[in-house]
Amino acid sequence: MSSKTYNLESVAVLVVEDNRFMRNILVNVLKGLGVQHVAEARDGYEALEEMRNTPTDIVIMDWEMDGMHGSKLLRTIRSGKRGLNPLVPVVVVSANTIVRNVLQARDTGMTEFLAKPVSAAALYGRIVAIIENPRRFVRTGSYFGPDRRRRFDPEYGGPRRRADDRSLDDLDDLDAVNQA
Amino acid sequence: MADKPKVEFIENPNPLRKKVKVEHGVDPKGMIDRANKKVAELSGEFEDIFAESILALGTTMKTLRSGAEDEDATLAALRRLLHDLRGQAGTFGYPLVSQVGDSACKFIDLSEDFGVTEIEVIGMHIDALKAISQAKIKGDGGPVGAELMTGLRKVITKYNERASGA
Repeated sequence: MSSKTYNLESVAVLVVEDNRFMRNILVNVLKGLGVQHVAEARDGYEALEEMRNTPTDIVIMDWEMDGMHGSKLLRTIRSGKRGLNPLVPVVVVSANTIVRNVLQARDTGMTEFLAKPVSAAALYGRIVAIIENPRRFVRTGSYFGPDRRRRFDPEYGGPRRRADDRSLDDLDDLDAVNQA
Repeated sequence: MADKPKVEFIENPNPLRKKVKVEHGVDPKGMIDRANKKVAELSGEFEDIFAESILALGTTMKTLRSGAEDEDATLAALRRLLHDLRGQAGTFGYPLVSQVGDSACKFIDLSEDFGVTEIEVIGMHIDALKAISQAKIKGDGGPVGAELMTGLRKVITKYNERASGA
C-alpha cells in the first residue's frame, strides 16, 4: 500500500484532444484527481495559443488529431519558439499502441505515453512518474526532448549489448546508436 | 572516421516537484476512486455514443462495400469511428469493445492493400461490435467474449498466412 499522495490542486494541466467526449473524460479524471487548473484545447493551434498565454505545468495530448497532428504539435513545443516552454512535460495519450506509433512519439520528445482507454490510476501514475523521475533533456542534431534512456547506471557491470557501447562517451542517445 | 554526433545534456529543473504538496500517510486510492466516480458521470453519454457509433459503422461499412464513394475517405471515416470507440469503451466497462476496435484499427493500419478480403475482415469486426452492443456485453464478455476474440484472431492469422505465402 502506498503511503503518500501528491496533492495536485496547484498544478496547471492543458488537455489537447480533438474528440469532445474524450476531452471530457480526461478533464473529469484530472478534476477527480484534484487538479484545479485544467485548460482545454480542441487542436494544436488552440494548444499553442493557450501555452503562450498561460503557464502550463503538464500537457496531456492526443496523438492522432485532425488539423495539426500530435507529432507537429510536440515538435513545435520542443522547439521552444515564440515563448513556448520546451521543457514542459508532455503525456501523449493514444489508442494506437503499434510500436512505430509509440516510437514516433518517443522520438519526437514525449515525456510519458498513456494508452487509451484511460483510467484514473494510470493517468495518476504518469503524473507521479513525471514528479518523481524527471529525466534530463538531450539535444542532438536530430532530437530534442527527455533522455530516452530512462535508467543510467554507471556501476553497470553486465555485457555491453549495443554495437557502439565502446565507451561511456557513447552512452548518449538512441540516435547515435541507430546511426551506428 | 566520421565525427561522433554532438550531444548536449540539459538538467531538468523539475518545477512540478516544488508545486505539488506531498501528503504522507495518505493512500492515493481515495483520490483515484473519486476520479473514477467523476468519469462514471459520463457513462450515460457514452451509451448514446456507442449506439450512434454502431449505426454509423453499419452505414459506413455499407458505403465501403458498395464502392460508391471515395474508398480512402470512407476507410478513414470507418477507422476514425473504430479508433474513437477503442479509446473510450474500456473506460466505461466495455473492454471487449476496445479490444475488437483495436484489432480492427491495427488490421487497417497494417494492411498495405485494401480489397474485398480486407473489407470482409473489417466487416467481421463490425458484426462483432454489433453483437456486443445488442447483447450489452460488459466486461471481457466471459466465454462469449473469449470465443469472439479467438474467432477474430483466427481470421487475421489466416489472412496473414495467406498474405505472407502469396
